[in-house]
Amino acid sequence: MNVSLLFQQYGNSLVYALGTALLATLVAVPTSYAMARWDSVWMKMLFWCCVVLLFLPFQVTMLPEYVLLEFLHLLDTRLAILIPGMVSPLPILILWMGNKQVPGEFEDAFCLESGSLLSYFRFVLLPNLSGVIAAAFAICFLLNWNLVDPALIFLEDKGLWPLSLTLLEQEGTARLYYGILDMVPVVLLLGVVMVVMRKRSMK
Amino acid sequence: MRGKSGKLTFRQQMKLMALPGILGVIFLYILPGCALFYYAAINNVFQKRFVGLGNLLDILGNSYFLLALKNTVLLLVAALLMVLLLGLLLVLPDAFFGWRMTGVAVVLLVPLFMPSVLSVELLRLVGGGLPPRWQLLTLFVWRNTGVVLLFLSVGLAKVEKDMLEAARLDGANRWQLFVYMQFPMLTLYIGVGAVFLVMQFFGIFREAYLLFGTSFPPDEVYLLQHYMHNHFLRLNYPYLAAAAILFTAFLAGTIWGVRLLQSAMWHQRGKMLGQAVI
Repeated sequence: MNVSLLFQQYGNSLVYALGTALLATLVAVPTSYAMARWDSVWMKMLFWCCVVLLFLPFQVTMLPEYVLLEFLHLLDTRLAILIPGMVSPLPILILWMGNKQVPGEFEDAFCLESGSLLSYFRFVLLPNLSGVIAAAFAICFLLNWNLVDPALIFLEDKGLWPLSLTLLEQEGTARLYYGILDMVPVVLLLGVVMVVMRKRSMK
Repeated sequence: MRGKSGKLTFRQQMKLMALPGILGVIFLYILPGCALFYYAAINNVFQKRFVGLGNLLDILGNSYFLLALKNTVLLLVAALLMVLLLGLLLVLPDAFFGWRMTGVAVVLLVPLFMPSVLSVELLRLVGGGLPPRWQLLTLFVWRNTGVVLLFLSVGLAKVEKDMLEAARLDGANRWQLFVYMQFPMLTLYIGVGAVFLVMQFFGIFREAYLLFGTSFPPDEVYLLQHYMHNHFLRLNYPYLAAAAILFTAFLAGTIWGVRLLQSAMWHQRGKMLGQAVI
């Protein structure tokens, strides 16, 4: 067992899962806000695009993504996973639902005081949405932690593989150890979610 | 329209916020997606001769494509029904006796996020002798029941207790409370669960790949995802592109149909409510 390669792959998994979750949430927060508040044809089109994209299996988007990554010379780099994951329909739709729950009166009241959207985000929207944002981030992280298909197609260099792909190649006890290692962040995160939920329901 | 100090107004700033999402969807999905139309219209990647709709007609007459289509629809319906029914069954104790199932749901979430390889290994230990179709369905049910249960318990918690209490005082028994009050309130959450399940089902290729160790599984579980994956590996992009376009069109059509149905139902319900008021 090559330990340094193992650590590198563990790091890769963390980079892919955390990076994708972070980027996807960063894109989703402003987009979902505009989608919930701006009543226009464009936003409706964006919304239905997101809904269709949400359902599409990877095998449908595989060829276009491959063509794009080849064009950008990004195949076999870490960005090949991070860039397609950047705009992800799931967090956008989750946060869209969250944004719909924030009363429009908050915005009207804030507009009387200030014209800056950034301070609206900073003082009103983000504190109100923090739970939903955390949920979207956690879901993105967990789904990307168990990443197989894109890595199988876009990455050939084993030094770039996530742990979940390496797990496939292991046999017997090694597979068990890799599996346990792979489960650690998942169990930790679910534990945190459970504690937070318990605290909320106590309130 | 500009604000006092030449800055953008609040509404303009709000519209600007849509930019990352719009640009992302255009540059990551729509523009590269046009490549599908190009590949779908050529005979192969080497000669690049224009054949128009030839590929589309080819795959529609292809027995493997039809087999994959049949299996996908069949397994999708079976998987959806099984998980939703099991979820409803598991939420019954909460509905009837008020036992909180959130903890159970979080524990049941673990299989969804555990590495697919491990879940496949566990299935091999327990149900290795099952027919392939049942193996895949068991795996799907085991991985996804937790989320559906979570949605349903959240939905159940939102039903107002006062209303149930009032109905109970009027002489409704627990079963009637569930069937006539709690279940109708849960339909929205069942819908959300179904959406999640469809999304998960289209990602089932990964588990099927691990379970059967190849992208050429037994005929009973040969899915559209396998069909597309295998054509990608054979560099047969035209067939893949044609299948992908068909898939997307079919999906968009289904979503459109569901939406129309939903708005028609709302309309109907609105009418009924109106009559009740009159």
